[in-house]
Order: sequence, then C-alpha cells, then structure tokens
Amino acid sequence: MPNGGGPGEDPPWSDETPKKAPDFWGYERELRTALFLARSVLKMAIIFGYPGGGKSSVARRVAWDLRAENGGKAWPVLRIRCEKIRTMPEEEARERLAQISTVVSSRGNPQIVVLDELDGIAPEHSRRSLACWWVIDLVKDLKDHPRGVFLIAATNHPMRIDATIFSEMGRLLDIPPPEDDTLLPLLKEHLNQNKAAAKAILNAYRGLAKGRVIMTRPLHDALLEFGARVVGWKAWDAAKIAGSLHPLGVQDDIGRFNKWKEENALALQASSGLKALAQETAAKKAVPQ
Amino acid sequence: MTKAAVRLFVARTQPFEDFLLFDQGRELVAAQAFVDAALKGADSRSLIAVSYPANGKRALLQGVCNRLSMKNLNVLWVDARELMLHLRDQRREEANALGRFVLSEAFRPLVVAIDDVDTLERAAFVDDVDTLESQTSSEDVEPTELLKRIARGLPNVVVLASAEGPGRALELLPGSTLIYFGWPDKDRMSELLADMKLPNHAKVAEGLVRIEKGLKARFTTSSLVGAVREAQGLYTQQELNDLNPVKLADYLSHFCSPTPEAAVSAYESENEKYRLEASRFLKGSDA
Repeated sequence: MPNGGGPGEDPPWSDETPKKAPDFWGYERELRTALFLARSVLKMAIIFGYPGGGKSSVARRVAWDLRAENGGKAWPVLRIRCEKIRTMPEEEARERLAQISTVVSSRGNPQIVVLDELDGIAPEHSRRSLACWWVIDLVKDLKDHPRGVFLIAATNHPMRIDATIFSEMGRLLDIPPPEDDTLLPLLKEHLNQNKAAAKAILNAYRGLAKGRVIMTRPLHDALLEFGARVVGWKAWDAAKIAGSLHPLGVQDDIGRFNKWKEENALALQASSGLKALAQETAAKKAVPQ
Repeated sequence: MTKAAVRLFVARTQPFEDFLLFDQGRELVAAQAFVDAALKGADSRSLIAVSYPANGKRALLQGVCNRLSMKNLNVLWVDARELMLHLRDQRREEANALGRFVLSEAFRPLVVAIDDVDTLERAAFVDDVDTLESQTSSEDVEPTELLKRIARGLPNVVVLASAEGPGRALELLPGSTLIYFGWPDKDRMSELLADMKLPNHAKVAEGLVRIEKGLKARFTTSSLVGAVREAQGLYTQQELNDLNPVKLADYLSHFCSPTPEAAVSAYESENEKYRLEASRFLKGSDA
C-alpha cells in the first residue's frame, strides 16, 4: 500500500492493520463500547482521552476482535494524521487527500479509518482548512451512505473539534486514565505474570507518582526500557523497580489533568452514558429469547 | 466520495435519494411560496437557510428542490464545498458547467440551490484567492461573481442557499431573504420523530428535552436523525412500540452530540439580528 511519503518522509497516514493480537490492557468497558459502535448502523465514534491513554490501540483491538466478521482477517486500519495534513502546503495537502480517498475506496469494507489528532484541524478564525473540509465531506458521505467503514476521530480535546464534524459524528467515547485493573495486567506481563510482584511495584509506583497521572503508554514504554532487568531480577525490590520506572511512566500533574476534565465535562458525561448503554445492550443480547 | 461536482436536477429527474423525511413544515411552505413569488417577479431573488452546523438547512433545501422538481421546474443543485475543491483541483471544466448552465436561457425558469454558500465566499476570501483569480480565463464564470449577478437580478433565476454564517452569505447574495433554524425544540423534535415513524414521539421528545436540561446542552437535528436510525437498527418496530418512551429518549440521547449551552448562546447572540429578520419573514408567510 502506498504510504504517502517519499524516502525519508514522515507519511501523513499509515496502515495499522494488526497482524496479531495487539497489546491491550484493561479498558474492557471501553472496548465493549467501541465494538458496539463498530457494529452500529452509522459506525462513527469520537474517541478521546488524556494524552497517552491508548486511544489508537482501541482501534487496532477492535479491528482484531471483529475479524470473525471479515472472513477471519482483522479489519484493515488506516490511521490519518490530520494535523500533519493541515500543516502541509495546500497543493501537497490536496494531493495527499486525493491519495487517501483512493486508498479508502480501494480497501473494500469493512474497514476502520482513524482520524488522528482531529482537534488539530479545527477552524482558525472561522476558516476551515482543506483537511477539515475533506473530513466533513467524508463524514457526511458515510452518514448518507453507510457502507461498513468504522470512522474513528481520535482527539485529546473533543470539545475543540469542528462543530459540523462534532455534530455529525455524534458518539463520544472516552478512554480514562488507567486504574489498577488496567495497570496490573500491564505490569504482570513484564513480570512473568507474578501478581504479587506487580501489586507491590504498583503500590510503590503510585507512592512515587503522588499528585501525578499515570498513563498506560508512558508506563508501557518505561517497562519496555527496563523490562529485561525487571524480569531478570530474582530478588526483586519493588521500591527500586518503581524508582527505575519513575518518572518515565508518569504523565502529568493532577492540576492539568483536572483542568482537562473540567473542559471536557460534558463529553465525559455523554461518554459515560454511552458505555452504560453498550453494556445494557450487550446484556440484552446475551439473554436467550 | 466520488460525487459529481455539479449535480443537475432538471425536470423529471430522480429526487434526492438521501432526502431526509423531516418535513420542516412551516419553513418548507414558506420557501416554496418564496420561489413562486420570485419567479413571478418579486424583488427578492434569493433565500438563505441559516443554522448552526447539522441543524437541518440542507434537508430544507433538498426538500424544496424535490418538490420543485416534481412540479417540473428546473433545479440545479450545487455543493459549494465541492465546487471550491474542483476549482482548486484544476477541474475547471466541471466547475464552469455551473456558469454556463445558469446563464443559458434554455433552462429558465431555474432554481439554483447552493449548499454551504458561505464556503464559496470564505474560500474566495482566503489563502489561494490570487491563484484562483489568475487561473480564471475570460471565458470562465467565477462562481462568486456569478452569484452576485444572479442576486442583482437574472430573469427567471432564483437562488436557494444554505449557510452557517449569514453575514458572509449576505455579502455574496445581498438582499436575500433569510430562514433561520435554531436547535430543535420539543415540538420540532416530536415532529421529526413522528416523520421517522418513531412511536410515542411526543413523550420521547419530552424526555429528550429533559435530558438536554440535565446535560446543559442541546442536540442538533442531524445527530437526532442519526440516533433514530440507530434505534431502528437495533430494535424491531414492535420492540420500539413496547419500549418505555423515557427509556427510548435515554437511548437516543447517547447517540446525539451535545452542543454546550455556551456555544448555543454564542451562536444565537452572534446571529440575533438575522434571527429576528428571519422570524419576520416567517410571520409574513403565515399571514
């Protein structure tokens, strides 16, 4: 597949179709809701969360989990970096968008299209960029003619995205900062499934990260960096390991996080309702008729 | 995504296949009356439907176009966003089809419907306007110039347009009459749900309004339509009939993007004078 960039260039889109089960920890409720939306009539979702929460991995996991609905193959996933297209010279952006349209059309259905960093193409002084118009056209087209494309807008700031896109896409799904039930499986994976060790390290880690937000992706990256040593230590020392991981695995101070929550209170509330609905619907379907 | 740039809906062609069956009764009747009067020589030659994004202006335009087509009137549908993309994309031949068609005497009387007309103006104002103008040969009819000519009075040609920003649209089509859509209220929601064959529509609308108040937000028309389609995808008609209206309202609300009250107030106060003007037009039509 063309990747949209010449040698050495950072392409504005990438093929992220999973070839094997993608890494995924916790977030069962969010995954269930995303699967519910992927199977819904209009197949659209604005997935948002605090930076580093693993929004993109939801798309890959959905693609993998729905493989039974695509002849046993994961749904193709195309990730488009909107911000990158917006900052291109107009001539190049037009060319890239035409290429992306061709790729989307040629992939067949079902498929997943992820519009990453969508807030990056919000209108400036009421002026919409070419990328923004392209996305509006895509959303309206898919809404008028639903055809098996699960369209995901990924953003850190759902309330800042273009009003038309926000209104047309409708469904809001947040990926919250991870709780222990998300972080523990992640730690366990790096500790030969040693639950006691994972718990001890997490407790020590929470102590060190006091007042800051722990996010999945940074912690995962830190574990990858120190993973070999962690697994190799026989007489492990939780505090020492937590100290090695810190501060790479913590994301941001709680003040900034609270401000983010305040700005997105409405979206978070809407998302919470949608998760409850997805759970209820799944339960309804599970009840034998 | 490969829609034609300029879609022609002349007499006896197919209506809009994706036309939303939401009859914005009062506005629809007023818009049709406006076209009749304009074709009989009334001063105002263009009508602009104005609303916040996704509140039903395109549906109104399509509804009027369908009805006019059924009356064997020539209707030309133009998507301004696509037109601008084509102009930028060097596909000038397609873009110029608009000018040639409108100026052709053979197809008059003619109604030109332009969706998102403020896009045309906006695009012409910004970034590549110099490029655009330098590419325009003397044989081309630059769309913004064409619209100004129509607004000044091209015999037997009437323009129906939609716009998010009435200010810009009025610069392009001076002297236009306005129709303004706010966010759907209880009655309009009920009408929409009834048109989409949803049971207990009045009670469901009541429930939705209650949820809006709780959220301190409003739901747009388009997202409500999407939500109803979801409900109809999940439930059978019998299940929908049996469902408690409060529960159904709750279900629909999860698929509706909430516009925060602050954004609603900002848009409405910014467009207050247009809103009042539009309201006078509707009252006049009722009379």
